[in-house]
Amino acid sequence: MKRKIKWLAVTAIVISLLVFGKLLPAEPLSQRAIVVGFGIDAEDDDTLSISAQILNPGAKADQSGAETSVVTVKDKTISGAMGKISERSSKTVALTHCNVVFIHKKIAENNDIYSVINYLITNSYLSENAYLFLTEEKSEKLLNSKTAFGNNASLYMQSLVGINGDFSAIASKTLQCFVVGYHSLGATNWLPILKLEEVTPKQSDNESGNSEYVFNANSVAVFRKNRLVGSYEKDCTQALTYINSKVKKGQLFVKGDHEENILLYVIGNSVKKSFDLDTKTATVKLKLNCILKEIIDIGDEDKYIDRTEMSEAEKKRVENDVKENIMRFYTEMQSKEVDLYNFLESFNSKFGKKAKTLKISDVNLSLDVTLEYD
Amino acid sequence: MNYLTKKQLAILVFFIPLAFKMAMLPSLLYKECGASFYIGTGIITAFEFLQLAVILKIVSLGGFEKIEKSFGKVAKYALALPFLFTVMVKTIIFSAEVFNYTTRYLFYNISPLPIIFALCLTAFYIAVKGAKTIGRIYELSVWIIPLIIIFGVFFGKSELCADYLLPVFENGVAATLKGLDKYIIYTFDFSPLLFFRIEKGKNLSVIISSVLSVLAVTGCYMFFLVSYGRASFLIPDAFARLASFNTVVSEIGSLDWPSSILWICVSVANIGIKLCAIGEIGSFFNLKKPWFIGLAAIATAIVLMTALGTYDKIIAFASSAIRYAVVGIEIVLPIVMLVLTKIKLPAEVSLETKN
Repeated sequence: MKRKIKWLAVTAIVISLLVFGKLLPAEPLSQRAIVVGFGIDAEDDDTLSISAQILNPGAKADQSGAETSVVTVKDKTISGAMGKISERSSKTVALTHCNVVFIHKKIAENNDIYSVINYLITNSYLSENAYLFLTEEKSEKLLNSKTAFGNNASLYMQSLVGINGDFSAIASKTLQCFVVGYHSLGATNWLPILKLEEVTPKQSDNESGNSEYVFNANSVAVFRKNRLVGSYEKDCTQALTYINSKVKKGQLFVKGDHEENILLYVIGNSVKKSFDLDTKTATVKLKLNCILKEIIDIGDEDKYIDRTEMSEAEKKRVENDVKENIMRFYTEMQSKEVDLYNFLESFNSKFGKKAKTLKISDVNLSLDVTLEYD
Repeated sequence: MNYLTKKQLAILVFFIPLAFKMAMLPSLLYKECGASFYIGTGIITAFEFLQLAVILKIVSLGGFEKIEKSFGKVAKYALALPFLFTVMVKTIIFSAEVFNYTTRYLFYNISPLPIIFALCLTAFYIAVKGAKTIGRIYELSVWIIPLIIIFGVFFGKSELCADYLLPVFENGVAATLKGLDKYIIYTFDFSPLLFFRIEKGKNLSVIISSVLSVLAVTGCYMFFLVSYGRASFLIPDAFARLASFNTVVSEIGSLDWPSSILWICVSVANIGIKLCAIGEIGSFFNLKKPWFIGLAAIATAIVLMTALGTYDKIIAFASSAIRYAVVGIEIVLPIVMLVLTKIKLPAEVSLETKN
């Protein structure tokens, strides 16, 4: 009896494969357009311009890393554009390996950022762990740009954010984190702003006239709900990442007691927070772990100073610089009702309904910065 | 008769409450209960193991055979038929969930027909093969868990905020209870074990496994909440999203595929258990098991193709009034059966005295 069932089941499977086989997604890998970078630009005629950087395994790589092609199409919707990309490339678009999404700044300025992001998170084609960037250039140009360091633009961007640890001066955000931030009590988000910077090309490329680029992602755009609050420079990015991110890389400069240049490498940070509802105070203790890289007296023929420790005053100066920077940015954000460090969620967690009416403009920040270095 | 070893039972009781609580349920519960959904789910999962304890006791006392001997065939039929109803309803809801995940997330943009066919055929085959095969599937599936952990440790990143776990019962205890009530059909799922024979011996491994299961369910819900915060209501496939460990690796894509394999294995095996129990009920009425199981699988496929083809319809059905009938049977009938198996009729007492 059991053997009969086995044969019946096998026969049913074979028949089902013959009957339904055509309905299954059976394209070979070579027939899939594996997208590694995805760009969304707003056009003047109310359409979207969508660019996809597609892995092209059959092509001969002209730079180290995978060879890719960028396909750009225009449509009223993202889905419509993806269909067109499929038609243009004669392949099925697969976004599961896509790690970076570029959104043009114009979309943010039109306060449409969450419409795009909501589409991406509810559309499960794309991983919610993809990194988001705001761009000043059209993403077609960004994705097509020849990077100075080998990889295509998408893979290069991945190495800038997150993959090997966070830089203190780049504030990264994944699709998931953006959506979580949007729904938090403070509804605050940020994205790194990507700028292309031309560099001197390699000699061989110089002759052919091809430009090479690096990406500058030190600026940051801050959002509250769907609204772009503003764009800020590197200092503000650091004020943000020191408290909100796990920083693994970065630099700190300070003037020495005798006008020397002191350089510290940031290799880690730790943050402890406590909250007092009566005084409406958030106390943050930030510890920065650094390596003292060098102390140089440039005033005296670029000579190194023969000491391996900073004075107490120099250490204090670093701590004060960081503290002032954070306090300045916090105060500015506070005036715009932007909950930069998610304090409202923390107060709600600790005090529940008692903290219901609290506004971020009421919350005082008591900050303590400690520098530890080897 | 279907026979499970203690080891297989221990693995099985770990996965039965976990599998279908980690798919659509977390986002649905968050929507209803708010942030305290993890406490409510943990408590109700612990209660589920009371049902398991009753069921294991019934099985150890002779189960349906004992009831038939003591009270006749009518009593056996009267108790088995309500279980046929509950198991069939849960088979349909859980199959709909597997089908929904597969068509919406795993293979997006494909026709549902081959998925329904593959799912029902596989579950049918597993059910016909019986407890031994189901037990082996669970035993083998366990080994995917270390693979998921290794993937997480090597490639994963954590973006967690513990603030979301508190305050407890922010929306009130009533809101949590209301949410649990709405989706109560996803709980108390051990009744198919009444139709299995279980190896005799100490239950230590089963107890440990039960505790681990409660911890795993609660822990996964907490992990879900600290990952997604107030956006939890947006995430329909919790296990797949959590097991992506906040990263995409360009070379191998998202890390969720080991968890997808695990979930599909244990959820299809779970449906297999239910169909297997349906086969056993059929055999009470002298119906051939494979045919009866086949009939149930075909009925499930037809319902999925017609009445419950979409996410919204599945949820509406699972949270309709039918849930009270299903859970009522799942809780009350095992207690009735336990009492009946404990009752010693005068004939049995005199027989024992003689011996």
